[in-house]
Amino acid sequence: MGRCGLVNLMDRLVPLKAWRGYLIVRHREHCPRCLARLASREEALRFLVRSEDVAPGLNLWPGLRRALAGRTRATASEAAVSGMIWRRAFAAAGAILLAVFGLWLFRSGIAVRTDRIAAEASRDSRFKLNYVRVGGEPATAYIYQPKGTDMIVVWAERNP
Amino acid sequence: MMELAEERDLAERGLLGEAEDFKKIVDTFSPPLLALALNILGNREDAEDACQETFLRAYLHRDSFDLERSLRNWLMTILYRRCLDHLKKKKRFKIFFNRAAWESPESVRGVPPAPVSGPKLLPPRLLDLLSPRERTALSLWANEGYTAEEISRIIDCSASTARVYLFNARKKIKAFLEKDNGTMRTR
Repeated sequence: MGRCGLVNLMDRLVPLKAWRGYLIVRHREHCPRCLARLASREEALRFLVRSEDVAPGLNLWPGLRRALAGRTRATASEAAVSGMIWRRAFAAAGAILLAVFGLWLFRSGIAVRTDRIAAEASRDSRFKLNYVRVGGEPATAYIYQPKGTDMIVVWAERNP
Repeated sequence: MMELAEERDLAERGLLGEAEDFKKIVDTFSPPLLALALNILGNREDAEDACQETFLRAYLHRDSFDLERSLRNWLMTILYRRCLDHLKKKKRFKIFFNRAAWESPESVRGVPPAPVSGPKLLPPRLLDLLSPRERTALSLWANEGYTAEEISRIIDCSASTARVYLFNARKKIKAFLEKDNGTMRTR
């Protein structure tokens, strides 16, 4: 009696499940006095529904089969939709990549052409003298262009 | 109760085969699952729904089942979670209904009351007396002969905690019986 009282007191003082579980294992499961204060299996069964009570006439299969069939169809159509979505996503990603690459190519083409035109324009606008003669004799030429002007000054000097 | 080898054979045939092979599992485990669901939910319609959802989930996730494990325990675990979900849904509906009724009685006229309980077999007071976990622990112990360790795996807690749930449930039932002096008729 004293020991049961002590266990009850410890149970109330430390209401932790781990501690209470320990007290059950150590004392309550084996103590006849404590066990007498618990419902037996037979007493508990008076309150509970048992398998035997529900078994007669119980048939969950028809409803479940319908649910399974519906679910399988839904899963198949979900998979189909999902597959279609992925295919479309890949196609869209491919088209975008293609467009980006095309744009890049186009822009590079324009850049190359522009550079070429600029180069050609630069070549055409270049001032060039093949030779200079002064009085029928070869002469030394000096070409001078002031910065920021289109003016070109040519200085020719007879060779000594 | 079914032997483990027999249960494994049933699991192999039922889970690895076609939907029709699954019928054997449904037929075998429907009564214990429905009994557990009824003991947790206290309502036949909800209990049947929970059982159907359990079998459906088991079939759809049959790939994740480890054949070394007990099929019965796996189904019981799924069912227990489904039942808790049902109780949460009911609680949410009840809170919503009560709030709506309190805030605007006119707006909810004609709406049926929340199906809180209405057991056909269980004494309604048992539902008030025990928590869902205590009801689960008691049902598994008394109906299925499960130990605290087995119960703990189903309700996902330590064995010590499962032992406390079972102890509380048995204590409350005993106190209830003593209070009523054994005169109560449950069924």
